[in-house]
Amino acid sequence: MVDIRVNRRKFMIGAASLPVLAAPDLSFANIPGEQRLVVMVLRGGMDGMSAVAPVGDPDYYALRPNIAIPKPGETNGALPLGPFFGLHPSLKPIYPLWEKGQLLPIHAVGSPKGTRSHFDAQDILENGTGKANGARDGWLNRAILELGGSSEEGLSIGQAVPLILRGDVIVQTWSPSGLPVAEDDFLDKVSVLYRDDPFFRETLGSARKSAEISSMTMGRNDKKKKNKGKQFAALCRSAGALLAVKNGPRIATIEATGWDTHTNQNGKLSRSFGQLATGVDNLRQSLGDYWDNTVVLMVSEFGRTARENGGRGTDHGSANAVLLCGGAVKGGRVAATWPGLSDQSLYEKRDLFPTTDIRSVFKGVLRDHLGIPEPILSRQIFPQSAAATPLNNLVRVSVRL
Amino acid sequence: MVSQKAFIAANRFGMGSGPSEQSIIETSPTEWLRKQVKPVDGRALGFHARPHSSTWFSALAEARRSGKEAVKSLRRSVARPQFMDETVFRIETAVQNTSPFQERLRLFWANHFTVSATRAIVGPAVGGFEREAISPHLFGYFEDMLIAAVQHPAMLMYLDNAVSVGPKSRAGKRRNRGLNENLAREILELHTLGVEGGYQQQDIIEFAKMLTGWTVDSLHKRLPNKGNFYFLDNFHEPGSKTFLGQKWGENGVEEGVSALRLLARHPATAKHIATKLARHFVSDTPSAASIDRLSKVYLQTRGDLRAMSLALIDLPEIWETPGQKIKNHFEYVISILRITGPENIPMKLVQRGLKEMGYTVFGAPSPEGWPDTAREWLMPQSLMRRIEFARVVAERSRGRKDVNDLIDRTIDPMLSDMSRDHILGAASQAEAVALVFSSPEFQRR
Repeated sequence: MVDIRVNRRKFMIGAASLPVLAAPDLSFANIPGEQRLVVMVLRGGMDGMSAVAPVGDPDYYALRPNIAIPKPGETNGALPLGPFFGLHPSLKPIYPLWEKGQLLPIHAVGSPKGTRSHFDAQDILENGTGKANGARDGWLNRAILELGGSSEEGLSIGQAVPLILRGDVIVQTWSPSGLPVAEDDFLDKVSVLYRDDPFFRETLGSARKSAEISSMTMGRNDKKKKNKGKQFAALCRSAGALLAVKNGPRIATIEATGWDTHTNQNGKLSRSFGQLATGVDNLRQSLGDYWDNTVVLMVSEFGRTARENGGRGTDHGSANAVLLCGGAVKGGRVAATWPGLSDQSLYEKRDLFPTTDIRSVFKGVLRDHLGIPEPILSRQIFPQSAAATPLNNLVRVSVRL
Repeated sequence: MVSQKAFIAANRFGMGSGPSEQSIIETSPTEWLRKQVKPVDGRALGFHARPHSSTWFSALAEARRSGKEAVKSLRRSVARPQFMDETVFRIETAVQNTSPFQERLRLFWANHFTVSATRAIVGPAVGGFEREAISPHLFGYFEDMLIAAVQHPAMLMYLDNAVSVGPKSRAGKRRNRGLNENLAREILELHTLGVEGGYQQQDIIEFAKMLTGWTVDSLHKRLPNKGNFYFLDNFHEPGSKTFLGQKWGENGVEEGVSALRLLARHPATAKHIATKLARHFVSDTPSAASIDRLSKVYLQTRGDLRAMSLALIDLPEIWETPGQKIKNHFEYVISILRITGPENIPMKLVQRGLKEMGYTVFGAPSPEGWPDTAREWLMPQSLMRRIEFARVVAERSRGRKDVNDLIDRTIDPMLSDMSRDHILGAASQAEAVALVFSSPEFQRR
């Protein structure tokens, strides 16, 4: 095992004690080691073909006659991302980033080992070993270990530390007080469990109804209900504030749920994308100048079926879109080797075919944004992943320690 | 995979599946329960290391003599922290106790003889009340528990008997102070005969007279301030009393004691206790057969609570109709902690959860205690808070529990295939765990 690790913070303290070396007009955002990385884990299988719709592929509209995102210019149409792709209209709050060259969608990205189980796929996404139960710690935690293993480095926003950030380094956590409101999506699932139990069914029904009514009037629960959609956005705002601290945490995770859209997905996705984009925009605002050195990575465990199902939804699929944004991102383009959507180009005749290994995306960011060299990436952080070479040109390479 | 019998033993009699007891519950559920019908080992539960309630009452009296500032400072530096500490201890005991049937019985009887922190002066002593007056008599005679509870300073203060003065007593004549019927009324209505137990308003007055002089030494300047029960003859209403159709000659402190013994042996009390036990352990609307059976045992054994506890174990209805009861908020939260391991859930979150559901440890809303039927306390809003709590806890405990394993250890015998598939089809481990904790099968017992 390794080795001598240079502790970034110790180094900086050392540097600060030598006033001769201090460069007076260097803005803090340019100080080496002040890069920020925020990983948003979208749990449930976000539909990448709605987020970044292949509006230039005729097969897309054939496969999804009822739920495809209309072409740019049409009613509720996509926001153009070049000639072939379009951004979901509810992601509009982050569309200005595209225009500034700070949004980089990467499409047809998949995990090394295909699985359509949420549990296994999330485990693979987060443990970074390529297999479910391949490790008890997450790759972001191992990355922090490589960066010096300081417990000040990582920050988990939310009730618990997700697997991706769990491991040998104890990270910081932050969560708002009060019991967070349960999303409609989750309450729908609970309702199914209550279908044969009249007492629970009626009690929950009346609770949901009174929450509706009080949201329309100015009742006491109004605040809670109103916060419901804003919960994620509020977390993002807090995350930005916590990350905009010199020598504070640099690497944060935030989770968003409600992406498992098996039925009537367009309404649900409009809400979820709206909340996601508002959250990212809040994060940008509260990061202030730190935004310039930030990469936000939005990932989900798998994509969804290319074809719509009988309920105007989609089922668990394979390859997906990953969204990168931030001041440090080399965006304004879509990075994709598009596999096509014809019958023979689909994975197992149903899913978008993965043409990019998701670890290549992660490795590209870790190498160029946080400065972790390739051999370590392929050995310690994503074991036995040499074949998944880091993607180049994802981020503006800045001065690094 | 747990059998239905094991599920019943763990949930209808216990506090939910726990960390260590799985195998014995599996092999012989009734044996496991019978073994718990034995005097509580307070030492094993750490009771000996807890403050005795008397220290609180004497400290309070001491401070009162020094003035308002001293009382204020005592509230801040002792009362509040001690109360918080007791609530944490209460939760931890419920989670860790390896005799959960005892735990349920202690909670049941403490609720039957409610002393509530809603009256601030008794707040720090409620935990002590439970350990000192309830716990030692869990498998003793009801009348001994009744006397211990009524004579406990916390009860005498909570229901005002400590300041009740016989009008014709020496103090009554001198200070023009009078009778307080509060405790007498609640003993008849709540603790013994029950509201339809056949007593009249005059019985309440007479019984209150018999209880005059039952007070706490700390309240009286000339007595040694020990924080204990004291019979103060100066307060006691002299002369004979007519109570429940009998004439009782003047007999000092013994009047109250014999009245309590009479009440404890009354058939109305047997029925009242049997009904409450059946309602708590069997169903919100228990069968007349179950009530009769328990009532008979009570009368035959003169209220032997050991015999009553064993009779509960032998009650056919309890084994035939699982899932009739819905866990109250405390039982619900404790059963989650027992299965997730308390180390994963911060105490602050536990208390916040209970509070938002509408439950305060040691803080029953009235002398009647917490209601024992779901319709009275599982309101739409509190169900919503349960679901939210389930979600937060699941987030916290995920990765440490496989969902299949969790189901196996909890609701497996009660779960339909459809619900199981639905849970296993959740969008994440955490969501699946939250669904388990939100399910009717987990919330029922």
